[in-house]
Amino acid sequence: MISRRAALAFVGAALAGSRWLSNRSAAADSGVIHRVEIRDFVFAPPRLEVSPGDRIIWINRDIVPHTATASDKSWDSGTLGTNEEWQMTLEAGMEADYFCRFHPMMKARLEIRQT
Amino acid sequence: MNPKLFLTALALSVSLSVSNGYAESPAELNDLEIAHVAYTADSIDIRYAHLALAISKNPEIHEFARTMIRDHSAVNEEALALLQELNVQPQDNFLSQKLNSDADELVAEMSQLSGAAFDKRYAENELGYHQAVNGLVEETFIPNIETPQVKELFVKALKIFKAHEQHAAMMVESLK
Repeated sequence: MISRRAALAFVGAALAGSRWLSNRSAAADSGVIHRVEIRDFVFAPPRLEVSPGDRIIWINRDIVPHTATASDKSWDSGTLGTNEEWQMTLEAGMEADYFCRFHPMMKARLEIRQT
Repeated sequence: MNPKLFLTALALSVSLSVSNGYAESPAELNDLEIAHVAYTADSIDIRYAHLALAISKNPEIHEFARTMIRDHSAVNEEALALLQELNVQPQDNFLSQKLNSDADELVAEMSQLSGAAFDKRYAENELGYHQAVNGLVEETFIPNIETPQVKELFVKALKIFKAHEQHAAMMVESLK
């Protein structure tokens, strides 16, 4: 026979488990989060594998401002000062090549997986 | 390339014949004099950029000029913050003075130009100026700087100025 204390512990564990499952599901719904660091006039990594629904966060570690701007200008971070970040959720069909509007030799690409 | 374009580059060459009783060559400058030269060189490029914004009608030149103002101002702010932290003042010197007098001449000359002639002159000077300053910073200043924090800032700034050099080279090429 299961004691009252053991039964309560079981119920508690089950509730905790369902919360974990619920969090995991929410994370899966929101896609994977990727980080791109801008440092020494380079987007790192310069090639990033992503899928629609993923979130990409750009953060500027240089002392001068930069942008992350689609090569066709369809998306743009605006000016990112030192340690400022900007994020974008990727949608199917978005422009994959991007650059810094202030320093056009800084180029990078999102390698978008087809779903 | 027109040798006149390297007027500033020549001013920055390793040995200068200016004598004022203090340092006579860039290699003899102390950290505070080097900081003054760097601040002056930044300010001069900001001055050229404002001239470009006033005279040029070319959007590419405008974008580059705005970047020079933005970046060189950021470097100067960083330099001033560091000097404040170290509780020291930059020291004027022969090279800062020479750079300023060369810049006065160049601004007077470029002010007489307009249209494509100005754009070409500005772009080529930006390339020559950054090449000259970068060479000086990399080969003479960084090896001679004694204060670690100042050296670190110059290493960081050199990466920025090399990117500008590359950008200026692209601009010169696109104006051909």
